[in-house]
Amino acid sequence: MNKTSGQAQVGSNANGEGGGVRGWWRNRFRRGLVLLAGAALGAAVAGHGFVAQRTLFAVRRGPGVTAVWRLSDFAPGLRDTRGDTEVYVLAGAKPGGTVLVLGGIHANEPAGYVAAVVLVENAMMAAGRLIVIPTTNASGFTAGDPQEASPPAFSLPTASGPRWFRYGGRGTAVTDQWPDPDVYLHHPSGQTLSGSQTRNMNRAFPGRADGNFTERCAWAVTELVRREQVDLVIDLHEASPEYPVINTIVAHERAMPLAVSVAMALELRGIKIGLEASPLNLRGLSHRELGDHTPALAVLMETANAAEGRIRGRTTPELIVTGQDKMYVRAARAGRLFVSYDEQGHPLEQERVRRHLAGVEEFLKAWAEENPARPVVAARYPEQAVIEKEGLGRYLRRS
Amino acid sequence: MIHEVVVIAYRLIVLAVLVAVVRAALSKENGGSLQVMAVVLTIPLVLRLLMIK
Repeated sequence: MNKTSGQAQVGSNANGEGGGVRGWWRNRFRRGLVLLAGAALGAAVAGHGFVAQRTLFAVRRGPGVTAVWRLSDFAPGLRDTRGDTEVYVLAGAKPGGTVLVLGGIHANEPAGYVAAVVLVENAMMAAGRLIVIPTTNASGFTAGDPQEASPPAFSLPTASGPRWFRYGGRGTAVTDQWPDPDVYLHHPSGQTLSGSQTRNMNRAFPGRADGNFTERCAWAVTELVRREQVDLVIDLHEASPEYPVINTIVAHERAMPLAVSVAMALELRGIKIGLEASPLNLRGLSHRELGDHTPALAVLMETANAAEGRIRGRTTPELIVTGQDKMYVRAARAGRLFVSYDEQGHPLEQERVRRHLAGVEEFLKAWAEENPARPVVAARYPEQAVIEKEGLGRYLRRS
Repeated sequence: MIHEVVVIAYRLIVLAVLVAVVRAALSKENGGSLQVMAVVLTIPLVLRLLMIK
């Protein structure tokens, strides 16, 4: 091959390539190098986006936060991994019981973790302790689910500017636990589930100290419940609107009397709520295993999130926040849903987070009434009327 | 421990495939469409090798 002297102009070469730029480009080795350089640039841009998603949203210490722990304090194997996360403690001046609120076990169910953040940044306790983990499955926030086309983040408006939150995937990230087996064998029950469920933290409880990454994350929560003598665990979730367990409390049998009181109180406040017993034959869920393996009462609450539904339209940050989706309106008109669905959708702020916050508030009240020796009482709590009217802007500041 | 071993084995396999793909991209035997196809394949392979995605 002929070489030129610093010019793109080349003469005919041994391969019969012509001169000029076209001839230079026809050299397949040089062309391959140029294309590979372009691919490297593409990989760098794509890689930067994926790595950026590993930075989770900031949670501010509210006036009621008295201590911040790490989840790895309860399972040292999680230290320096993406499963470690902050645990916020809101302790009152008077002694009492302990309530644990879990958000973000499924990182694609934002009402749970946004409600947890609002609690950390605004609630204050008068008696007892409220422990809150907004990003319980921290790994899940670092990557979305494959083939879901979900946005990596969404924002909520506040007076000081937009407040950003990550929107992650249902399980722990494949970069933290891989490969998925063909069949997931739950420990210790031996229940078998689809292999992809091995990264579902809400199928991994109670977990084990020397288990896989997801089991170790679940084990840390179980250890926290045991060591801190948690009385009540409230696990905040969402589900697709076509799922039958929506706007519902799921309660372990020991927690059922308390959950009945809460369901009645919510109905009296005009919040429609269902009540389901924790299935005995579906293992690994927080309400089943924490109820069975620790002294705590365990419940879970669900709201309707169209962004994780199967019949949704385009998946955008607006869908996450507004819950407005015309396909779900059509499905509701056809009688295919278990919740009502109209053009107003199921907004994240005014409905889904508000519903979770109301549920936690009623659980605190019911617990204090039924356990006067171990009360957990809030001195300051986000107001339902304000959230219904204005959204969460008064309770959140910009990122 | 088994997880780390599996990940190392996986990365070695990805590296082997990546080397083959880069060779295909630079080969004087392959036409433009094959070169482009090989180059496009390098992007996910690099991200996999670095365990970014």
